[in-house]
Amino acid sequence: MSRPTDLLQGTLDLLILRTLEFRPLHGVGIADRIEQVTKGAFQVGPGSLFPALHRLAEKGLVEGTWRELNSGRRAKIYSLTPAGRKQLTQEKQNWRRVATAVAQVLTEEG
Amino acid sequence: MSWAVSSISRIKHLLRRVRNADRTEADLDAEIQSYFDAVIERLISRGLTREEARRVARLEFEGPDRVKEKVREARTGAGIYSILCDIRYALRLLKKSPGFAAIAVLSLALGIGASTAVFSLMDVLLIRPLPVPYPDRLALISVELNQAAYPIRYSISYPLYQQIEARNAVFSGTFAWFSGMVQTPEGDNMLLVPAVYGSGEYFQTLGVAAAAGKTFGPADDRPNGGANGPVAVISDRLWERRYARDPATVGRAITINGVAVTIIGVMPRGFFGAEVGTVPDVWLPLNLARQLGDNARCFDTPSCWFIHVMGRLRPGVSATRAEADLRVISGPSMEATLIPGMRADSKGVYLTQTIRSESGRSGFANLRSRVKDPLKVSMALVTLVMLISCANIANLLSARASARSREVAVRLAIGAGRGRVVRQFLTESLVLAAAGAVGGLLFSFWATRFLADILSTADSPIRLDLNPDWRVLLFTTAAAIASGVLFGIGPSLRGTRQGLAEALKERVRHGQVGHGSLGFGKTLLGVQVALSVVLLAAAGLFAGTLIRLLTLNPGFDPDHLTVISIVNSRPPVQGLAAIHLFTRLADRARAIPGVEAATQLSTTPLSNGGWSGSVGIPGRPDLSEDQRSADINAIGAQFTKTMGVPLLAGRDFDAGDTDQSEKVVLISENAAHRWFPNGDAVGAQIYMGGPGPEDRRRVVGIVGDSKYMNLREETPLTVYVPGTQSNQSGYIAIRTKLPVAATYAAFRRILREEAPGMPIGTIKTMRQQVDESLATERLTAYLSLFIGVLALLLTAVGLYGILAYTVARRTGEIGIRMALGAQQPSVIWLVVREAMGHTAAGMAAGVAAVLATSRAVRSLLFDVQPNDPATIAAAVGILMLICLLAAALPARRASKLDPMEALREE
Repeated sequence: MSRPTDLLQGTLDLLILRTLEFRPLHGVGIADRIEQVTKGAFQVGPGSLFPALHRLAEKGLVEGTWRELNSGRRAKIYSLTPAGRKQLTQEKQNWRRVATAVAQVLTEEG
Repeated sequence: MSWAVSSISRIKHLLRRVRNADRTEADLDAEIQSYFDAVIERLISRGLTREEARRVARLEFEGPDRVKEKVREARTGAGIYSILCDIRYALRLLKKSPGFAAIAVLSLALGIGASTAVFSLMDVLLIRPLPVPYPDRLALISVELNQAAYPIRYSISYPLYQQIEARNAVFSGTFAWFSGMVQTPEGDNMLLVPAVYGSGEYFQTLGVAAAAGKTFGPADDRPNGGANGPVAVISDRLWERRYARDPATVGRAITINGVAVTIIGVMPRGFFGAEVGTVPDVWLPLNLARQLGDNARCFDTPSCWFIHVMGRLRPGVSATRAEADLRVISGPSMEATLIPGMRADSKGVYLTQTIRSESGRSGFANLRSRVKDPLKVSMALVTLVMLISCANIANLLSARASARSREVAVRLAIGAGRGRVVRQFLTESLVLAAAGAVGGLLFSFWATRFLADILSTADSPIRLDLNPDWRVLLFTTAAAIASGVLFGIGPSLRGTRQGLAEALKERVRHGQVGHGSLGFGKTLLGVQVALSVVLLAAAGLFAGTLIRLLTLNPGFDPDHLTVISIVNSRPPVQGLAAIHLFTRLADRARAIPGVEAATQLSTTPLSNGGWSGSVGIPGRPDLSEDQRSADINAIGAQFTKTMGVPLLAGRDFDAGDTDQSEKVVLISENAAHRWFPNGDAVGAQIYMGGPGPEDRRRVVGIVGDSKYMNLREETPLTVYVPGTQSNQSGYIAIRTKLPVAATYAAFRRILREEAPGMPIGTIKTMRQQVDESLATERLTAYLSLFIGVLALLLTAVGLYGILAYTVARRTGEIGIRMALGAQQPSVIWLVVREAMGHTAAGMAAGVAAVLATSRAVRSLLFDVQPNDPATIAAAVGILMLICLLAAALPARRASKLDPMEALREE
């Protein structure tokens, strides 16, 4: 599979949390959504997605429950926990700070 | 905060996963499966066939197994988790073969337990530091005669101590002490309480302060009495028992040896001073002993060796420098403490003594010099039995590994690293070892007390703190890990060596494998057999020593003989009053119903102490000093009847031998032969104590030879004097079949009436005395026997395992033999021959090892040579017998094979 950008450590976690901010999703849903939102910049394969999901679940930021889908299949649906929501807010701020700072550096150099 | 919360959350997840490992795995399976299903569904919806969709999914993404592995690795504590899983797996495997697990854990527990018990004793007697500040800076001072044959003396004279104290430049403080029992009344009873007489610097140098009140110092330790009169410091135990922790205890008086002594302090709980094994209740200034009548006359006598000395090194002074300094001051110190009237040759010897020091870190223990070697030998023996144990388990594990070769091959084939599989095997070993360690600790708890009880005797009770400290726990842990790795590493490396194809090709049928692992097992078995021979021979030598000593005829009859020690009052009953007291006590003891005979003694036989002197024989100037020196005992009437010593000529002492009548003696047979070879001993005269007419004594009888100090000694020449003519009695010996308690009760009443306020010291049977005099021999013998039996059992189990396995493996061959007409006996012979084949080399190696090493224990043996052929033969014989027994079952099974059945299986 194509890997256009190396994800910064922790970036994937942020993306997943952000993806789950408005509604719970299963694994395929999360991958699709990330790809869609980033316009294909990030393609998340199962080999990165599931370790990240389980790591987040362990930290208590997301939780997964088995649900029946409309199609009749069963899938594990992940949703944000309150802690996850708090974490996301914090991460967003952090990210903005970092992004601004990096952008400034780049501007000066340019 | 959030970090802590998320950590807790992660640990919870980890634990839940370990507990529900299967469910977690199933859940992950389902999740990944559902993901791939969804991907495939989507591809199908885009127009691919199911087959194509699967292919694309497989090519596009990493495989499901790989994803799962990544998830597992991403989880917290992946390492811990997999170790916990290994442990869980190991436990499950062990649960499946409880017989193997039980044998392995039990043999480990017994081995680890025995070694922990031995180590506990070593720890408490030889290693553990005194509970005082900076124990490493303490030095224990002793005197060495520059002749190899003499042991180092840890007791020195008071004058010599004064010299050391004054002359040394290396210690910031030195102190001297001796321990003993003091008398204090409690209600109607006179109690004997363990006490320490310590010099003025005792507490200061040890560096321990009182918990309440204060300790005594140099001003309290003066020959003419302390500045504040007689003072004492008491133990926390006595404070609690006698004074109920009353804070007003400090300042009160306690009567000790009849003198009112002021209590000035209470020591902290657990403080016992500098002498390991004692638990003093009272500490008194050293010089107060003069007033209280304990060793009172010793203080000014350079020939009286009764105090122990320790010092604390000055800051910056090394132990080596202290040693050198002491050597330098030795000469002048000895010169200054010469015993007046010493003969020239004795003087020469006295002057060559050297003062030395060693680390005082672990304090002083009376027992140390006696138990050091037995404990070291015991440690060596338990180590060997641990090796046997390890070899045994390695063999069993090896067989299991063979049985699991297919499982291992599959694991290796599907990508597990060899290291990973070895780790799984080792985990299993360490789980066994851990279980063995827990069992061993429990066993050692009991075993340590059992061994310590042997060492503690009524005469010198030893109270040791036997609770395992960190050293003991560390030792046990190390022993467990070392043995776990030792018995685990071989089988696990061997078990994972086999190639996949090889393993799968092989017919794997209930544990049958190739020949390689059998060779390994045979080697291990050979080692086991060799070590067993060594351990059995050791058990034989030590048990033989004990039995020889126990069955040795001591010259008197130790059965139905009870000895009561009487501690003289303080101030003591002396002179004629004492003579009359003991005569009356013996007389009244004879009148107790059920008593056959009774007499007084100045020395109990086999108590490692006594009285000896030089005897003058008129007309025999040819006898050297050595040939004229004799052990002396002051006795009463009925001596021969009471002790069961034969009267060979002349008469016993009787009521006619008084302090007024002619001075008389009985002599032992060997003395009569030595001094009066013409057989005219009875009626002859000897001199005792000096050459004057008042020292002359008439021999009135000859009695049988008997042991005096201990059983190991060469039977000494002995002279007996009537107690009425010597004032030296201290014991009443009673020949009776009454139980000890009855004798005690009856005699106590008599003593109360005759001498109110006089305590009974100890009461015990002569058998007990014999046993106690053999404490270290018993320790070594019991331990070595236990270890020998353990070794025997382990080896039998090991041999049985191998034979059962080979019989199973040779089922086909045996079937063919039987089909061709082999009879049962020849089949049995087949198995027995195999057994002998496995063990013969080991036995030979074992015998060689015994011959090579047994000399090291010579000093612990009695009347048996280290290479005693009978003992070695017996060791080999017993081992052979046990091996045959171990072979019997497999042999029987082989002989009962139905040839048709066996061949069909083939």
